[in-house]
Amino acid sequence: MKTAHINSRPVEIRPGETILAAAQRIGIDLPAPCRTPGPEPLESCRLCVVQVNGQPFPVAACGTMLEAGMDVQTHHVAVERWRTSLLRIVAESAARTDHAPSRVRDGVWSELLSHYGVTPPAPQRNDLSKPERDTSHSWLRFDPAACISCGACLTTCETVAHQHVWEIAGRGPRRRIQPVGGRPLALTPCTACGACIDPCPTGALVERHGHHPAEEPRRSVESVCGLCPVGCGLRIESADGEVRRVSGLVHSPTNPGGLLCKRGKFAHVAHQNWDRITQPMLRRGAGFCKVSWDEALDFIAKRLSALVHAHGPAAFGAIAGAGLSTESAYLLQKFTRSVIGSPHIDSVAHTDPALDPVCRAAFPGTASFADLDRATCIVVLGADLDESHPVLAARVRQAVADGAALIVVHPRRIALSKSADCHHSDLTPPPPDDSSDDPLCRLLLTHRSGTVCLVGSDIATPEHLSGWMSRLNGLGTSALPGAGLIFLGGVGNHQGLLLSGALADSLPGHVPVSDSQARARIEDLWGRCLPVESGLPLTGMLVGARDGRLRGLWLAGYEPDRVTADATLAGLDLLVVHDLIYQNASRHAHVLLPAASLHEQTGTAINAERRVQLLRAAVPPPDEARPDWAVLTVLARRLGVEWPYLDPAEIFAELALLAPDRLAGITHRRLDEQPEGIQWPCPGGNA
Amino acid sequence: MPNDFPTASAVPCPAPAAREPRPAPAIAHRLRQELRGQTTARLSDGDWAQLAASIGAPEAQVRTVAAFFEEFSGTTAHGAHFPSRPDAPPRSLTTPPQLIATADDTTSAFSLLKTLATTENPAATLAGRLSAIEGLARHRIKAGRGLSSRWAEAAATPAAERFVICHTDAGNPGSWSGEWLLEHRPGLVIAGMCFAALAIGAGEGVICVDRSHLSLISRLRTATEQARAAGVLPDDFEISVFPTFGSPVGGEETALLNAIEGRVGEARSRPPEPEVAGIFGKPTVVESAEIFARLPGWLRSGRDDGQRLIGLLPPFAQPGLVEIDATVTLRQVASDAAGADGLSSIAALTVGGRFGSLAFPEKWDTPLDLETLRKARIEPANFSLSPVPQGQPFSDWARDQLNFAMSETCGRCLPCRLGPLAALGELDASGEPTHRLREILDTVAATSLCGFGRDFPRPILQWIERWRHQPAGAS
Repeated sequence: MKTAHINSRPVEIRPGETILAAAQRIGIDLPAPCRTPGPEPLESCRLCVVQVNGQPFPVAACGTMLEAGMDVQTHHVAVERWRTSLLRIVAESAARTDHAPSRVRDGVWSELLSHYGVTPPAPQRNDLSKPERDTSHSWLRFDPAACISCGACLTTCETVAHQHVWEIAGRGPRRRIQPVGGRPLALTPCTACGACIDPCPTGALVERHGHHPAEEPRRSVESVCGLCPVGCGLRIESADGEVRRVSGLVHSPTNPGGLLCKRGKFAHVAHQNWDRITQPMLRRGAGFCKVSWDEALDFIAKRLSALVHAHGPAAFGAIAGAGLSTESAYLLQKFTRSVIGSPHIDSVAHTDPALDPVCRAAFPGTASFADLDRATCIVVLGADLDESHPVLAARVRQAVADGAALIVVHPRRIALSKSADCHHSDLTPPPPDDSSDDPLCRLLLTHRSGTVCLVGSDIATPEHLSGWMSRLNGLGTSALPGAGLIFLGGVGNHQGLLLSGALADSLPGHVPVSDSQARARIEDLWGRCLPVESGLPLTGMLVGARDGRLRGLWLAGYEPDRVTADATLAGLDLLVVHDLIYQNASRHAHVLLPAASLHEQTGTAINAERRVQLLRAAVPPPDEARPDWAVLTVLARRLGVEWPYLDPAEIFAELALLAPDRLAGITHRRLDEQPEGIQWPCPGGNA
Repeated sequence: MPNDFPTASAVPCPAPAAREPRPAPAIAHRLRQELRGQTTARLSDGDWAQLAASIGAPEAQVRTVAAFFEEFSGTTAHGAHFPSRPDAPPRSLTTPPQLIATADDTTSAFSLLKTLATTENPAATLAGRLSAIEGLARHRIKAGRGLSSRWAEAAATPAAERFVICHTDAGNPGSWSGEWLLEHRPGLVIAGMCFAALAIGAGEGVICVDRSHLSLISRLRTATEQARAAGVLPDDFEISVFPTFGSPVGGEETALLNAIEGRVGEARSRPPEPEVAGIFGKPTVVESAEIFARLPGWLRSGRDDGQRLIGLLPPFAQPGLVEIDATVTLRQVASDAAGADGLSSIAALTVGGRFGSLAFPEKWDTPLDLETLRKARIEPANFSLSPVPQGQPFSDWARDQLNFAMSETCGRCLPCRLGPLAALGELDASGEPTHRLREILDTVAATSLCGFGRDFPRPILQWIERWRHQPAGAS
């Protein structure tokens, strides 16, 4: 084993590891303010310099590989003196130029200043002449007067997010990082992914909402984002029971570099908003009054029994929304089918009946996101990735920069078309013709293998998909590394909703309702009879509610638009809305139940590459809010059905029994041990 | 529709095809084409967007590159510190005079090249002859390594293509030799580059010239074309002339490489050295015009006596170029340059310009030999000489040095960007070298990213060590 020494401690050499990484591995803390999650170190702040034997000059630990035989001194007295002096240089320069930070906000830099005992620059008399704080942006704030022009934001923006929002204006001492063209941040192409916030060492870039000084003690939990089927790895920092900051996990397989999108980064801001429902509420006249859970559930149980008694079980329906974990969706359909006995259960994974055959055909896909890093050709079929899955858009751009060919098939020119080799606005594939000069045909011909196809929900009909599939399959697309198909559902936990059986025409395990053998197996397990026919799809349920066919509806995180809500939900006998925020459907609800957000509950979500991921509760739900599965368990007991579940792990275990070909071998405990999640088919699952 | 796509684990995995990263557009070169000599000062937001679209790069990157280089930004702060070369022809202190005496006769050089090219393994033969040149390893050291070992490394690094760069030390005040050689001995420089190309297997050569030397640029292009027409250039070696976009960071090589690629001319971190990963990450040898011009002579004679063309900067009475060899002492050169004024008015000599070292009178008998100079603690960054007159006040001189550093620094790393500024502030506040001033300069020298930041504080620190804050010559 080759070794080097850091501060006289022997360190094992690992290939590609910098001195900084090795030092951190053995617990030595080095200041490295300008470090970014991107591949290239900036080496611009020079605070991580260390002494290496035999080198005439100190070297930057962030950009120098640890090599065998090196003897590194990280905190030699001279090195520490240089660090102090460097911090002082920056503080002193503020008096002489507008291009050095005159205000120090929080962040690593202020910690360093206090650690090295350097007085921050005193407010200058000419402070008014300093560039003003940019407050134009909805999600970020930028204070140029706190910026040390290290370029961490710019590099992260370019290499991780693949956007170009920041520029360097001026050379040498006039170097200044600013939004492109010196414009207000709101007028730049910024997508508000927030990637630039985390590497900023000085706090010049902060969240606009809910920013708190970093000094407070924080609890940190690693979880995943369930808001879209990419399933980005998250680190959720919280204090006082509130989420303070959400950042991406740098080594996550779904979002390399820790990139997030606007939704994933800032969803907690909405969850902590004033209009969050935090108490069960019952309608009283035109308004609502707060009640206890007992009162609310008693009311629901009474109304439900009366409703079923008067109109039959099929007068009740339930809709699962996008914010549901797999476990909650499973219990919602179990509640509807076995406790009430109604076939009417559907989810937002099934919004558009015309699209449904497409997603069924493409489900569950054959490729992984990691295949994008190896593919030589990428076909984006009917998906505006920058709108729907921004993190994937960045990954596709990285692949294109690395040399992959890109074909965009979309009715209109989308942002990604700019990077594409070929934009095909006709959703029908061109006929196979090997001698054609058409660039699309040439590309498809060149990349007979190594093509990854991303199928989005903007594709018009199943015929388009099957046309493309046969075109691509004809060219040899199969599940090789760097090849295959990924179906991008539009909603978070898309595959989880499908697998849990929260669909009008399929049971848990994605088997059709008409499959009597499968139904019998489920009836055995549940000990209850199931409806034999398929239920109404989501839109059918809304129509049924309007026409009086349905008398009661349970909306779990599902939110129709206002016109639909007003037209369909007003005349129901019982409308239960279990949601985070008072919105359109809530205006007609008889009962409002406070839900737990995905940051506040344990459960699983399954992303578009079949990766089962564990959601971990980072904070407790506020006040009386409860996750769906817990509410449904209690309500089932009131209706005379005893469910034995104590936690979501037991619910998942039951679902895994019903979907053995996909979930066998996966348990919450195993997911807890594997932070990157498990892609099914799970290795060793069927053993 | 059937759900019959194969599952991920069902098919055995052959190795995926390799991907080639797409080349980034050379933004600065495209800017030059689009702007045609105009600056970006009056561009509107719409113009910028159009410019970026026609270049095919993001607007932010185009603006960043445009803001960095003088040619596009129109700033004149950089390059204001460079004295122009006197018209007087070079003098010689070496016998027999070498470069300045020989005409630009390349016949023998190119016939040697042809002979070499016909041998079984031309690169190895040439490498052998290079390493056999007596004195080469002693006199031509850069970054601690001799010329032949650096070139050998470039040749040994596996790559699809390699580059030879000839620079004129632009950004290094007083380095007039490259400019003079390209003007008067272009054939020798081109012949030398051909030898380098043969030695490392390069297919492309670039001669970097300051963009203000318009006549030189066209003359070089003509010389290259003539050589090509005469059939003396190897067929697989292309030479192009690259007018710089503005002053590169004090002649820092890696900044020059970035500029040639059309990117922001900031210094790169080392390692990797240019010989391993230079232009576009390919092995590149970067040498001054003088090295190339002398190379045919060394190969012919088999020895290198350390001859150099050195610049004598004002305020010497007789500024200009002078050719010396490794036996000539500082005193000899200085007396020649000072002329009738004599040496009595000089308190110290700056060896190697603003990044070099101060040589005080007791060291003037040191010969201009790299090894001997270093032993005497004189680090010549280049070989130019300027006098520090007796009685020169410290603060004036130091302020000039610091202003120069400020105008040249690229600003990538923090110490070199703000260090000179902080030092000037300290100087203004007290007018004398406080402990803090020394600390600032020491910090910049120790922690800067590239040679520029490491070197410019040295002469100032040497002054302080010698005379504290008193005028030059005070004992």
